[in-house]
Amino acid sequence: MNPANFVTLSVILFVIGAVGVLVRRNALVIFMCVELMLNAVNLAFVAFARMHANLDGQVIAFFVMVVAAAEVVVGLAIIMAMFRARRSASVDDANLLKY
Amino acid sequence: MTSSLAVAHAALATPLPAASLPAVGVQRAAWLLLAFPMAGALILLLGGKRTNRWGHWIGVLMPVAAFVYAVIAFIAMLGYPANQRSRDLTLFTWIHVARFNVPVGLQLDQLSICFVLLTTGVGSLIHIFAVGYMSHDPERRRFFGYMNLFVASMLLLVLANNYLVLYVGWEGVGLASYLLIGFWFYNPAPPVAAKKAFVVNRVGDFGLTIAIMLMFATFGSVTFAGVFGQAGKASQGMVTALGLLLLLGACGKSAQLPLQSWLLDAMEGPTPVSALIHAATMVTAGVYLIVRSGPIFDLSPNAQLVVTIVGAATLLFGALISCAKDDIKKALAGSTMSQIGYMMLAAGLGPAGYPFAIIGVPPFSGFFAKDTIIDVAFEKGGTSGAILGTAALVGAGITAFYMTRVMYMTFAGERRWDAGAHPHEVPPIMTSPMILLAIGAVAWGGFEILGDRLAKFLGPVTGSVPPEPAIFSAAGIAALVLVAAGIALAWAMYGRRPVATVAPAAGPAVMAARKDLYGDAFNESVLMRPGQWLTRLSVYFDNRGVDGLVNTLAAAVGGTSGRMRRLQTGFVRSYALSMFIGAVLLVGAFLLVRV
Amino acid sequence: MTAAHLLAAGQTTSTGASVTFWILAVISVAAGLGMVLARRAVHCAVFLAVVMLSLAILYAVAGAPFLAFVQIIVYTGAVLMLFLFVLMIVGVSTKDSLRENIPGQRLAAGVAGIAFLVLLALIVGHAAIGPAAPAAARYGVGNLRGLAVLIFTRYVFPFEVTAALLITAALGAMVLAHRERTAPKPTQRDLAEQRVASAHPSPLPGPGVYARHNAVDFPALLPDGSPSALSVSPIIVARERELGTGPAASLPPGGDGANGADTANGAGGQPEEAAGEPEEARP
Repeated sequence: MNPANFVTLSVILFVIGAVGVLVRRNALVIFMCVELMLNAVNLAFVAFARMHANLDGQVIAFFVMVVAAAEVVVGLAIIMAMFRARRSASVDDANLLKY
Repeated sequence: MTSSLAVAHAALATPLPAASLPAVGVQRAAWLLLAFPMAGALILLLGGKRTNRWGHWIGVLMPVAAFVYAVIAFIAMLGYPANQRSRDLTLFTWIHVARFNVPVGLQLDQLSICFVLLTTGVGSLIHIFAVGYMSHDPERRRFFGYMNLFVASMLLLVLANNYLVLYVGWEGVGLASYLLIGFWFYNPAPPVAAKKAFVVNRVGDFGLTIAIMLMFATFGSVTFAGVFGQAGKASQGMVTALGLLLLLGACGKSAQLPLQSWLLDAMEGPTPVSALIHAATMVTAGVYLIVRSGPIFDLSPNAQLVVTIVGAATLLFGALISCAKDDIKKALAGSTMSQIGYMMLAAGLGPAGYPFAIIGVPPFSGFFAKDTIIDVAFEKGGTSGAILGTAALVGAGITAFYMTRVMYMTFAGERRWDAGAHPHEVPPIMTSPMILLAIGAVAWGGFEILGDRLAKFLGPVTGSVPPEPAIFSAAGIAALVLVAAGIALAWAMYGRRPVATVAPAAGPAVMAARKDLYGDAFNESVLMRPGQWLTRLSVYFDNRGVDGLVNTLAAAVGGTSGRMRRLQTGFVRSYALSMFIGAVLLVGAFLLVRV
Repeated sequence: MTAAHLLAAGQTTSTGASVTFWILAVISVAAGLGMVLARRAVHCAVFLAVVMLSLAILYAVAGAPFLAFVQIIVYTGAVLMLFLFVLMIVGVSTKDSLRENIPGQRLAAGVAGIAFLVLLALIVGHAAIGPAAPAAARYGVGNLRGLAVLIFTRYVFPFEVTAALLITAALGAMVLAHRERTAPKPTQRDLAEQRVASAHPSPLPGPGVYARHNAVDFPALLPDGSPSALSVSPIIVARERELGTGPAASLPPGGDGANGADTANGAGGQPEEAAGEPEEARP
């Protein structure tokens, strides 16, 4: 394997996820793009772990997964609450902090 | 200390005052002179309305007790030889910071004992008079509190052995004067007059303050011994500056030109106040300062000349004003101004006895001493001597004129009072002090000037020995002639004809004199108006400039925030975009730094 | 730069690994783009699943078998399924509208994205990314053991903290999803009383009962032979009426209040977004 390739792929996926967060309106889709970014980062960690010949990168990727899971739990609960309050999953509807 | 002073003494042209010895015997209780009136003031002012019934007797008792002690101390002083009469009594150290050492000390010498006797003696009589004068006033207790405060401050002023403690007394008498002029503060005029007196005095105090600061900077000390002992080492410019600054202070207190405008307004106070403070004691404090600071003036002929010029100008100024005043108190105030001018002239000319010959209840006893002053003025020689002597001569004539005028307009002629007024004689509590004072005034003048006793007595302090006077010198005869002419003119104008009930229309000279020779108008136009313009200009700049700047800043901030608040669109995605752009910039910055 | 790295690294990689990598790279990028560009949310979820699975294989190639399995089981299997559940609640058929509310958002996002890509590429190009380490036990059989050693020695503190985080997240989700009862919970007696007092005290017929077929969309027949609108879910009724075909299409529209109320908070709810869309399903 070639770590440089892995890192490049990770970069591309990360940017795709970032642009997705900005462009999509559905809260769930935005969340999924965030998950894509996290996955991209995980890939980079694993590649670096292979490059440095130790497992620290994999451990970090593992922790990232755990934290992402926790984050998904809370985030989806929030989206559920938001949905119950205004019957809409669009983030553009939550604009009460407008000037 | 004595030997170094002797060395300095020998080095100077005029001899210094004799060194002070420590006080012994009964003079060690000299602090009583301050304690009695101060206690009186504290009891009456802090005791409040509870002391209303008996307060005035405390107010009278304290100056009397001080007078008794003063006589005892004077008698003790007479027992010492002439060059050992200056006694020092240090009570405690007030300030001691690095080189700056100011003790609270009293100096009992011939000059100070004169003033102490005058203040306490005449003061006691006036206090007794005031018991009757203020008997219908419910605030009598407060009046005596302030009077005692004045006596305490005046005594501190004349007894201090250093300039800073003198300044404390100086300010104290200023305060008491303010409180007493404005005693009837519920009327419109007295508070204004009190304020005017205080503010004008403040201008003079400014001069005294700077002089004290210069003394410390130059000599490292503010005590009389320290300053006079080292006065010879200072430059001529410094000594002249000190002299002029001290003169400025004296002008403020003694109502001399250019700080004379307050004295006539000060007559708004009760008559005992005008008698004690603004005729006899406080206004002579300025002369005291000049005489006490004799060693400094002796070293600066220029300062002495300015003193004489101020004195001569003021004596004419005051005399001219008095000629046109129809209020007895105001006429006497102008007279006071003029007589103090004589004292200043005499102080500037040199011998110390002559200024104090006019002490007492003016103007009567001072009349005798004018001859000697005129003589000394002419003897000064040169153009200045001639001018000063002529001014003094002319002043004598005018003095005679206006005093006679006042006398004729008040006591002679047909009755002119309103139908409802009932002039009557006052009770004995008021007449007895006045009789005593009158006898003293007439007799004292003759007693001391025949024989020059006062001048000789003060000789060791002021360092000069006065010449024997000639009663019938050329100047003396000229003076007598002018006096007679003044009296005759006054009789012709006011004694023979009926007196008008309202002031008649008159020429520009009289109108000017009625307006205090435009003293107030001058102050207003030269000092007040520019100050007012300056204030208005400052206010304008503050409003437009400073406030404008601040308001513009605030408006700018407000405007900017109004624009920038549109960034808060409320949409989470635009915020996410901002964050992303920030992250891009950060990464770019990292790249730049690392590459 | 990057090309040099590639060339230098390519010589130590086996062809199997590189072929796998290139295929999966293309698939994952395409799926990623598809995820961002898909209109229906469910399609996004499916594309994400594709990305995650291909990443799992890539982990395996890179010598992280444990992580690969965890990715499949936990990430794809649990987390993504959670996403799908919520999607179903929110509305499976929801479609994003193409119109952009915020002016300049797409342009700015595109520009920023390209800039970010360029910058990161530069960084990666300048970084000294060396070749992969030779195969060792920790990348094969000993991977699990190695990970366990690291987690419980060097990274034990983050481990404990992460555990606390998981507990907190679970509690947080419970708190957020909780709905306080404003009225006391209706007991069985209350429900029975309501039923007796309502228009049909007898139990509602289930779908397919008295019918010749037992499909969900076959209405039940009432004693007089007419189909009962109450026996079919109003959603299905509405759907078949739209489609114009199906056994429930001929039923009268809408059930009565009782049937509709039960499903109001469930799958019947549709988001109000994209009002201009003709294909939006309405209950």
